[in-house]
Amino acid sequence: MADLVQDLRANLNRVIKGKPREVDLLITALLGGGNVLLTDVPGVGKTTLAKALAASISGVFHRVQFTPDLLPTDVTGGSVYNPKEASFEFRPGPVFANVLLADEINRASPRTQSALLEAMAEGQVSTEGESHKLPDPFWVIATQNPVEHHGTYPLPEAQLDRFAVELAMGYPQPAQELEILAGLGQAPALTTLEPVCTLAEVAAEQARIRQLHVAQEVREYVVALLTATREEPRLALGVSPRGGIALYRMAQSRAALEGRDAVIPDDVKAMAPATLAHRVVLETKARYSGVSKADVIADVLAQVAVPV
Amino acid sequence: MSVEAPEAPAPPDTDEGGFASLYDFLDRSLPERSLLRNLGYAWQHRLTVPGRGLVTVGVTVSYAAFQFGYAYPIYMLALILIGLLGVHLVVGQLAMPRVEVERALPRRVAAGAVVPLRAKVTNPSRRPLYDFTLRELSNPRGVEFEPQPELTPVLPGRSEAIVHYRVRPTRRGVYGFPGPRVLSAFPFGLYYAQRRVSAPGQILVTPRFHPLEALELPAGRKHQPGGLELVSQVGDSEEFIGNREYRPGDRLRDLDQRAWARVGRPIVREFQQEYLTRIALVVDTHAPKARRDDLEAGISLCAAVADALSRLEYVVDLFAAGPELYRLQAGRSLGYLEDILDVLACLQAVEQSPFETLGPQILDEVQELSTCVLVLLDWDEGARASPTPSRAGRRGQAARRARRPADAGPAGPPRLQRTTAGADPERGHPGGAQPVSEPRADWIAYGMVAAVLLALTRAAGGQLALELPLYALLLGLVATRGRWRLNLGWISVSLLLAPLLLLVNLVDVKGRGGNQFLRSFYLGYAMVELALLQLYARPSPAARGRVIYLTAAGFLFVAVGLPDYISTLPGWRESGPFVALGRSALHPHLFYAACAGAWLLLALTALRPRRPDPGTPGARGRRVAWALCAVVVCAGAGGGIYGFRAYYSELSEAYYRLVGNTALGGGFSDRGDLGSVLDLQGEAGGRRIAVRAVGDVAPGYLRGRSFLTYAEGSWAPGAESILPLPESGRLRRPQTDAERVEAPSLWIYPTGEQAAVIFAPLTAGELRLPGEAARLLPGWCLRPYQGDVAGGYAVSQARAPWHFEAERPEYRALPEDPELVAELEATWARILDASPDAGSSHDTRVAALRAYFDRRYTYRFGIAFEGPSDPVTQFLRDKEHGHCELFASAGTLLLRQAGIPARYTTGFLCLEGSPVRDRLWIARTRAAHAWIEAYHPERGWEVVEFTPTDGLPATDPASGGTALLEALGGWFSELWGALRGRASELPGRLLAALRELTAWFTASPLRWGGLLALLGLAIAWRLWRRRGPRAPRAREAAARELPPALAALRARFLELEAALRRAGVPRAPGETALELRARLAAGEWPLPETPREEALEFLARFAVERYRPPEAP
Repeated sequence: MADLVQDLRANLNRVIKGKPREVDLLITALLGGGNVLLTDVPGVGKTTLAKALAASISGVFHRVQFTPDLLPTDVTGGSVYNPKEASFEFRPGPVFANVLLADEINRASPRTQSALLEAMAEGQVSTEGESHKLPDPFWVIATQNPVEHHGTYPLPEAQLDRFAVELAMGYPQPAQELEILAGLGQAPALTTLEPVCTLAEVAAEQARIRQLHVAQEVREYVVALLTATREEPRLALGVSPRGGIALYRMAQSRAALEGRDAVIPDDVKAMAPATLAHRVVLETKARYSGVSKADVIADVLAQVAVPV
Repeated sequence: MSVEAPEAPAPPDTDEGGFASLYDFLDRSLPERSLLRNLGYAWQHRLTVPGRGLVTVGVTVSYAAFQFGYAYPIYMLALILIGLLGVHLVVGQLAMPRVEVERALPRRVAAGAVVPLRAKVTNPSRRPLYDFTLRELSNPRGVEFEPQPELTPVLPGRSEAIVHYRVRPTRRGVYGFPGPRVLSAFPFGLYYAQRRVSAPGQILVTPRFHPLEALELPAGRKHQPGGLELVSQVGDSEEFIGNREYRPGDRLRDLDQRAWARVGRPIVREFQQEYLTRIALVVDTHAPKARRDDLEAGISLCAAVADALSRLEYVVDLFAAGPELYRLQAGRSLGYLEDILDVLACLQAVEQSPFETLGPQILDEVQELSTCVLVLLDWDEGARASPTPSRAGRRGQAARRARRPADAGPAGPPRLQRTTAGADPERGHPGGAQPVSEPRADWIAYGMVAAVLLALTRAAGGQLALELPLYALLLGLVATRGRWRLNLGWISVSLLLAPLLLLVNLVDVKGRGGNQFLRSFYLGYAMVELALLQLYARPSPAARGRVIYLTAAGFLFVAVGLPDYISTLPGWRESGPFVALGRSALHPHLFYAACAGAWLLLALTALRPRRPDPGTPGARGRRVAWALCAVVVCAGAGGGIYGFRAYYSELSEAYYRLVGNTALGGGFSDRGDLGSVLDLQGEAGGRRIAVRAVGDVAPGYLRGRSFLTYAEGSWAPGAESILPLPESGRLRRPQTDAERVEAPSLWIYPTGEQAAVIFAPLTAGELRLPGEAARLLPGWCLRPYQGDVAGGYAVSQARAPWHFEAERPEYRALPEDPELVAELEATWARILDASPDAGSSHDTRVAALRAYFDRRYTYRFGIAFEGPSDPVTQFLRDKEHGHCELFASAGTLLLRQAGIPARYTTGFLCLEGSPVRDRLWIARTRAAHAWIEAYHPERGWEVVEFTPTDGLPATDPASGGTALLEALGGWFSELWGALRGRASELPGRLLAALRELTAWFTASPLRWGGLLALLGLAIAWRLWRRRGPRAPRAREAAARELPPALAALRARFLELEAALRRAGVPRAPGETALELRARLAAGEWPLPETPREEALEFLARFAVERYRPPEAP
């Protein structure tokens, strides 16, 4: 476990400079088995991070660049007429991969976005009445750009809820930026990455983490947090039970990453902003009052009593 | 983006109704007066709540010091307060290091919302910053900043801290902020030293609105041949449907060349057509000043409509606000609500109807529109001429009219109603103006109530104890300029000041010694009670500072009064002060002292005051500041006492001359200038009532002041201005029941400034003053010692011993002016020549003089004097006319020339009876009079009148309504007097009851147990209240079910947490053990008895082991 995490961390930090927290969150989400949505302005390394992670795991990696004219079948695949056999045969789309990078997911039409719903939730694709199982593990890393509005389609709440974690990269520090510029003369780090673990190792680790001990008080704490978001007056929509499950898994994953054999409230608090903030919907008045979702989640965390 | 917000205007004014001009005046004139503005700013932003209390008490005390004359404790308290504040100012500003602040203001905020802000405060210097908080520099009326409720205790040098505060905009508009201020309440928490930080920012406050639950628009979607760029709805993407034959009018670009080639006739591709709803939203901004609330309501409604449209499948792409038309063609359904709210935030009223210019522009666009939503403020001519629903309807648009409440009459103010079906009308006024107007209404209401009370108080004679709280109230209203907040400090000041001052005013009746102690003691006792009230009303850490200051002030009072008290104890010099104190242990004063001590013990128990550890940051600075403060206070107090004692007589005289009651005219002051009575007679036509009297017979001559020496047109009272009251005399309040039973023959109620004088007939034998003591002046006149006598007083007419006192040489003294003396001698010689036997006896001398005046002079109101000679000389030598002052002056001096002791007296001649009410007698200002009092060896002092009868004041009574009003005034005066009489007796009765209670408790040792039990119960109750809320039972049960090792771990953590809470470092509910550990590791260690490393290690261990599987803790 420790080796796997260390290797992954070292690999990713070679590519993404000065973002250890984001790298750790990504690895946490990977081991917790949750899909990740990277939201930030262009050019801060979202796609690079996703690609680096895919390259670090020896599995099938596909990338789909989402555009307004992308059709659902371009993602899921579709039936193609085979003249030899005079029959239609299913040609799998890029979704059939272990790691799917959905780049700029909010540029595609809602219809295409919805095509990912089933894949992310149930691990299968249904087309023309047939269901096709996706490979296991199946993991989606999506990126989106929050700045542009023109020609974009914000992700519906149902889709957002299926992402376990939403991450923002943020700009690097000046020192790291200098380091990036200095490394431009060398070969891109991304091209030299070697896989450090297999899919089987990741799957085994995920299974181990799911068995990590969570005390009754900590479970109650998770539920109290969920209830608090549902009762929060500034929120029109609180966190769903699916969000609670995601928080539980992410807390387990973080505890494992920290080398503990039980989840502590700090794990829950650390993962709550990234896990919960994108699932809630602000009230109209709060939205226009400069309050962000992260602020509300921070307030909820400050208000709900930690079990001792 | 085609929308541009207008230049940032001033926040819109939302004044209401007829008060608009008054508000305008107040708002625009007050800030321009820099002194008032600075004072208001300092009061509101620089003083803490204890500081405001201290300044209020300081001002009150200073005022009271002037009012009460020589009262050492009060002067000392004033010095202490000034010293404390001065040291605070200097030390606070010197101790404050340079700071830097980074904070981000929200760009857009909705009115009424509360937005938390956080600012990073960096201290780049080496010096730490203590007790600091952050506030914005500018505080415009539309935005309120709520500072962090607790001060941050310390920011060490070269470190950072996050300060949280909140912004609550109340009014739409654009507000600029130059930057925040860092405020430090170090060292005593009374005053904020400040550093300004330049960090300009701006907040745009969008209007307040209630979301509409439903909005039905009478239009469907409409074909828009504009193509994809007009489409905004999900599912409306332009998609290929199929091919069909070309029809004239089809776009040539849709021709399908391949299909045309295949079939040989023009074929076009057919796409799904684009249908959508385009809406124009128009808000009327034509509102006169008096109807600005309508404009606010309209703007709120417009915002609500825009919000509803943004949530439904509509596109607003024409928005007209006032005369401006905005095309919202960018962003479409994604961003136009923000644009509209931005415009609405900056909107201002226009004086001309905007539809003149707007109408044609909208009608040009109306072909493209599905619906036009108009928010009109009134259905006036301008609105009718606008692109109204009817005109739009003629052009094929759907029409529906906005509704107006059915109960709004034609003259009533127009009010807008939400256009929703099913919206809850109880949820609030749609406009943003109403909540803003509430403090204004309070402002007016408070002001009016205070003004009425003040007027009543003034009418009743200006009782000091009632006036002062009102002044404080008014000061608060003015200082807060309508942002009146009823906080605990103001409630305390307003409510407790009244009984406090009442006590001070009424208990100390006369004399010195023990009463000095009583006065200071009651002040101290009230302070301690005030402190405890604070503690019990709001038991928060913030109340701690107030309690400490108030308790300390209370004990200062007691300590200051104690030496005075000891000096009144019999035999204290022989036995020593402590033994004397012990002997008088059963004295009620000591009972109060014991009570105060018990209160203090309770307070200290409950407080657990901050004991600055030697290592605590700021402890040294605080000690230095306290020491400095003590030095200044002691020096100031000592100097003040020395100076006061050295110059007591001068100060006293100056006080009575400048501040006291002698500032009044009419010949009743310390100078009886000839002409002053004349001025009073002519004042306001002379019909104003000066004195009312209730009695069986008309009071006649009511003496106000007697004068003994004459020089250069002016009478003076004599060598000594104030005489000691005769101990055996009867010029005092009745002391025994037997005295009280005696019915007074006359009740007198002076009004206005005359209430500063005690008017009484010459035959007054006894005076009953409710509450006040009197001073005796030469000539046996009286003046109230404290305040005034507007509450009335009783006079028993009887011959008293001093009616026969004529020993003072001034009674016979002639003026030093030789010309006047010569004239007096000549006149007396002429009288003797005319009637040789005139000098034989007292009566013949008086009769001869009267005959001389009657023969030679007639009465005339107002006589001019010319030349250097004395007026009396000219009167005697040259004149044939005169008025009362001249007759009285000349007569007094001639009587003395004839060997008869005489004095010049001023007052009122009260002979006018009320036609409405029996026994009510009235003296108006025209009845002011000067006369002579001459001494008869057998009959004593008696009135001598030389003024001709036609010169005496007229006594024709008023009639009709005037008389009725005057009678009502008489009843009111009597009622007020009775109330004051009761109030003055109350402290005495309470004291007696408490004394009896004390005696009962202490009479038998058996009862001591009960007393102790009561005290024990009180302490137990207090401790029970302090133990905090009970933890939930379920949680306790869960804790009990823990394995022993985990339970022990948890118990130790709870112990540590409790210790930290007691040390002032509580754990927040949402704080985990690791977060607590990090916080403790970063700051100063608060628990001297617990090793730091051990506790930190325990917290780290607890954070992990507490949640591990039960089998492996």
